[in-house]
Order: sequence, then C-alpha cells, then structure tokens
Amino acid sequence: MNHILYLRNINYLRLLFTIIGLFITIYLAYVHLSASAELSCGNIGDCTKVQASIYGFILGIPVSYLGLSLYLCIFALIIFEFYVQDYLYKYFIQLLNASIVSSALIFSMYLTWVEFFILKEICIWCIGNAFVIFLIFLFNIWTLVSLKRYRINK
Amino acid sequence: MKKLLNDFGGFITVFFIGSAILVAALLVFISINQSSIDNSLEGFTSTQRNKVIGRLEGNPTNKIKMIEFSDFQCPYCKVFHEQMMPQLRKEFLDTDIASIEYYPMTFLGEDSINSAKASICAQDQSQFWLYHDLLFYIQNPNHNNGTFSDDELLKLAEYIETEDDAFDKEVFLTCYNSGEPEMFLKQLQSQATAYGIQSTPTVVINGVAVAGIQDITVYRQIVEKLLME
Repeated sequence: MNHILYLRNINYLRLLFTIIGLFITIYLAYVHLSASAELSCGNIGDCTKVQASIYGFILGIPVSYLGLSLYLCIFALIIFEFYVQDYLYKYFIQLLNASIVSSALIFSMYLTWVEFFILKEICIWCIGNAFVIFLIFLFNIWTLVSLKRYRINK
Repeated sequence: MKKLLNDFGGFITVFFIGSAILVAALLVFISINQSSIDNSLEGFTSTQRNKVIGRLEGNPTNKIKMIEFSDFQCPYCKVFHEQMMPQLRKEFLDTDIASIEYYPMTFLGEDSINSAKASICAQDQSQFWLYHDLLFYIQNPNHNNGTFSDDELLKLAEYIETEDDAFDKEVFLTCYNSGEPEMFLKQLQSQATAYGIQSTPTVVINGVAVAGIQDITVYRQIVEKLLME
C-alpha cells in the first residue's frame, strides 16, 4: 500500500476516536454546565458521585472541560497534519500530538486509579474516555514508528 | 526550519516526552494537593440566635422584614455573616424590630447548588442555621473545587447528627438525592429575580434592596425611615 495512504488510514482511525472522545467530553461538560441535567450512567457505578467529587476539578475547572480542550487540540492537529506533505513536519506534528496525548493518558490513568481505589465508584463515561485516549495514544505511536521507519529506509 | 528539525530532532523528541511527563505530573500533583482540602471543624462554634423558625431569624411578626440573598460560596457573604450579621442582630433582631430570612442563591456554580440543596435538607430537620454556620466555616476561596462536594456535605450532616439526636443523616441524604430541594431553590431564585437581585450578598428590607456590605448606618437609616411610615 502507498505509504501516504497507509498513514492517512491510521489518521482516519485516530480522527474517528478523537470525535468519539469529543462527544463524551461535550456530554460531560454539558451536564456540568446545566444544573438540572443528570449524568445518564445506566446501572454501572455512580457517575454523578465521581463527577461531583473533588477529583472532578482541577483548580476549580471541571476535568471534563480540560478533556474537551484536549480533544479539540488533537482534532486540530490531525486536520492540520492532513494538509502537511513533508514527512519530517508530519513526524513533529505527530510528536507534538503524542506529547499531548501522553500527558492526557498518564492523567486519565491516575483518575481511573482514583475511581477504583479512592472513590470506590466508577464512572462509565470516564472509563470510556480513558480507553479512547489509550487507543489514540496507540495510533499515535504506530504512526510515529511508521514515519521513523520510512525516513530511515528512505 | 527543516534543518533545525533535522539537526535537533533527537533533542526535540526528548523535549516533547519530558514535557508530556511534566504536564501530567503537574496535573496529578494539583489534583492530589487539592484533594487534601482541610474541612476540619476544629474550633467551630455556632452563632447564638435567640429565635429561629426555618430559615428565619427573629420574630416573624416584627414590622421590618429583611431577606438576605446569599451564596454559600461567595466570600463577601461569609464576611457579611461574620461581621455584619452580629451588628444587625444586636440592633434589629434582638430588639424585636426586624426579622431576617435567608435565601440561598446558586450564582457561583456546582458547589453553590450542592450547598444550597444541603441547607434546605438541614432545614427540613430544623437545623438550617447550624448547617449554614458550618458551610460558611469551611468555605474555600477557590470556587467549585469540591469543598461542598456530596461527601463533604454529608460529613457536615454527620457532625450535626452528633450534636442533635433528633437529626438523621439518612433522612438528610434521601432529601439531598431527591429533586425537591432543587425545585424549592428554583422558587427562591424566581423570587430573587422578581426583586432584581443580581449579586450577593443583598439584603432586601421591606422591599428596599441594599447590595453588598454597607455601613450599619445605611441599614439603620432605611429601618428608621420604614418605621416612621
């Protein structure tokens, strides 16, 4: 397969999961903004308890807002990368993206640990979000390795 | 640019990885640090009030009726509670000139809503004022940081349970998790809108609104004028 096409397909997958992440965080942010709306969590865990806990905020800002900014950032970088042709530039945009995603992954791992071991309640939306970040991280690494290999072979 | 990326590629990669770890570490540090919010009630003493009925302090038949619109998260409301209320109490409430009713507002977000809901549930068990004092005692300058999270509010109810045998934290919890306090708060909010309240604290004295914290003479003049009418 043409290498550019191959990378583009991985990027489409990354874009798809970024959009899923965007929807999750938009929903969580909406519930935060709307005092009357309640998180729909099925019968799994207690989303409201997790969201309203002290760990649901960083310096008074709801974590869902941070998540929303993160996905908007990733989304913008992916779209930008579609228009960049040079492999070196592509590599550094991916690196920047991977850097942002890595910090989000570490933080979401911490939050998941908090849910299981401190709050002892899970929020299915938060777990889903952590899983989406993990997948985006994997796609990021996959693309980075692929770009690096391409440059070495070239 | 391309030359720069080629020459310093390795360094830039390390820089990005380092930054990612640093940012994540910073977020985790802030989260752990803020989770150790000190809601200790050590040294807490409740305010002595001569006559209370629900959210009303003083004799309800007094000619002057004051309404205090206040938000448990608002720092000036705490100052009002600590510095202005003792003066108003001494001059108007204890002398049977006026009564004051507390209207919890929810202007500042999630923690304001939670605390207002909890205070209404404490009112159901005749402990509004003790709960009110506790909320202002633990108030944190950072808004919506979880000082008034569900768990912290329940701890305050547990504290009241140790002080008052008739208080039941389970009844409090059932009330808190029901939609009733929110509906009640909406009614209070619509009354605040009708009075044109835009900020807290605001005291309405027989329909005359006094915003912020004023000198006692301002309240005195209004009360004297109303008494003469």
